[in-house]
Amino acid sequence: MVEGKTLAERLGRLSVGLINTIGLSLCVIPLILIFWLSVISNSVLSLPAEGYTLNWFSEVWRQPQFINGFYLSAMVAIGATVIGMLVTIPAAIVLVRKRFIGRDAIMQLLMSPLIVPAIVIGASLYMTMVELEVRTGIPATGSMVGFIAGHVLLTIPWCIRLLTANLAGLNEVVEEAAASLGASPIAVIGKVTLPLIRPGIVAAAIFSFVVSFGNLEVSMFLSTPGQLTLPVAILQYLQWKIDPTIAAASVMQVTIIGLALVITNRFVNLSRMV
Amino acid sequence: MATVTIENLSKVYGDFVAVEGMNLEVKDGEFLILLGPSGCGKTTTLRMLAGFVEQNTGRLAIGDRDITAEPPYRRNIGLVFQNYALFPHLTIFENVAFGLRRRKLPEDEIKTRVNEALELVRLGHLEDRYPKQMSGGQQQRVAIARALAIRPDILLLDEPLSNLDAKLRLQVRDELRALQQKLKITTIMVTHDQDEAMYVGDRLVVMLEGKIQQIGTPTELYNHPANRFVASFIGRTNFIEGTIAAGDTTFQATSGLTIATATAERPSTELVVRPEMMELSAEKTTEANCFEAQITHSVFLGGSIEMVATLPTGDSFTVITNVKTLKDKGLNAEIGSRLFLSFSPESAVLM
Repeated sequence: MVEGKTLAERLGRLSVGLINTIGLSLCVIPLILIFWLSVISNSVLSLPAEGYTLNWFSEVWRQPQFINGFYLSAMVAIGATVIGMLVTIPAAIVLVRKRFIGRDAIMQLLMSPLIVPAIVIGASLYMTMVELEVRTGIPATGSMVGFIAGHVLLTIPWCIRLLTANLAGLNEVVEEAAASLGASPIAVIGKVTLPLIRPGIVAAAIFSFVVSFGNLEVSMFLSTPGQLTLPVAILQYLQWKIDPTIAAASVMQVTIIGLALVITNRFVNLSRMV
Repeated sequence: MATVTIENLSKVYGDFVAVEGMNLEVKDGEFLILLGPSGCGKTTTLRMLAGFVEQNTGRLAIGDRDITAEPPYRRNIGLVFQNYALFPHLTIFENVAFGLRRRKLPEDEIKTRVNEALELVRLGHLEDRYPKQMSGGQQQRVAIARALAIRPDILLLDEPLSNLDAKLRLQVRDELRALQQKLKITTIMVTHDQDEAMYVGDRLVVMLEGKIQQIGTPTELYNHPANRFVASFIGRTNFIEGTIAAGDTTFQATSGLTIATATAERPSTELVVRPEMMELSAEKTTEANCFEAQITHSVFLGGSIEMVATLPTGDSFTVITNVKTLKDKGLNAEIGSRLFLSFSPESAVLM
């Protein structure tokens, strides 16, 4: 495109560039800072750096609450992802392919965890689970089932959004062709629908993992002493001590989530889906 | 191979009547065309036959087999769609094998049948490709092979040529016709293109607003259209309003023109003459209908010329004539030239 050369046009271009730079900086600088702070040798999280060391990363592995937290977070994230997919794939197929009364209402309901603040979800889940424990004696808070149930709730809107977008892009005629060739409704889903929305399924799964793995607000309420997810463990550590161990633990978490997003992007164009 | 029976078929969407009390018998091995403008109910009829749309009333049968309540996957119908609808995640081989695998045939028979089907459409050498790597024409041929591989009782084609460009359309059309005649499979095709319909169809079913207007061979429809809609939809037509009594042979046009016709079986107020039935000449002819006219419009179409000839009474007739015929007669068809226009009483069809 030919760019104009009047003063107004030059000023316009300059201001767009400026806004872009400021916006991008605001996003990237904290990330860079975390990576930097994780390798400085200061014993308190501060600047300027007195020297550089990788010791904080080994310090993370010496802290049992981080190791256990990492393990619990990973297990919860995997569990929430698997169960979330089992729930949302059939739901998305029905929501996109069928027309029935209350369809929009159900869609809104499934999207609502995005609208309700996570801290409110956490608090209400906590109260529900405590009530459940009191009445039945089954331990819910701090249990794997409790964590996974809470996190599935958070992953549902993302999965529904990604899967319905993918399904809507799939021409129904292909499914009709399969049916005319003798495929039962189950066979149509298994042999045609699911293989064709695989990018959406992969994206939804990885997104679920990321949302669950990084969640603090809901996990905070569901955690019990000795049962902390990584973000909760980091928060607790921060209350007593501010040293670069935190930065190192954060770097590890950011790296895992970043990797997950890069893998997702290989399967679907995220900027187009979300 | 089989006949198809459609009895009293109806489909209503809210207050829109898509198909109304349709009755139709398709003969064994016949190539039948459902023809009409969009919204006439032709596609709805096809989708009811395929089992994707549930009818409100009526009965459907293939041969002696009542399929009214059968789901699509048990109807054994071969379907070809406008946009090919191939499975993008499967190779051409697996696309064609899809229906055979659902029927749990042994692997060697699947191989034989897929190869057979792909040979029919001359694409055997491309079985390892994916649909994306093929042209539209090739994709549609794969879709035809896929539909035929299951050895369906009947073949349904939903505007199969509409997505192809003009040249490919003619090529695939010819292949489709040749294939159908070779296999003698009962075929029903939906189209809105009357040229396509007349070219491939044994019989045409002209539909409008959910109702069958006329069923017949292309020649029957062209020469004896049942009503004004059929006359205007199939080919070009001149309409003349006026009156004729039963048993009479003279049509009195409202413009004052008198036209000789074949004996009227019943009173009529409208008459049609095909533009191709008109003859132009420099001198007055002995034909019963011969009028002096002036050319008021003329379009050169390559092999033919389309003209509008206006009579002193004000009547205008569209005339389509061969370029060579004009040349042989030494006629000048330029705008403004005065000529004689004649047509036989038989080519004046009363509505």
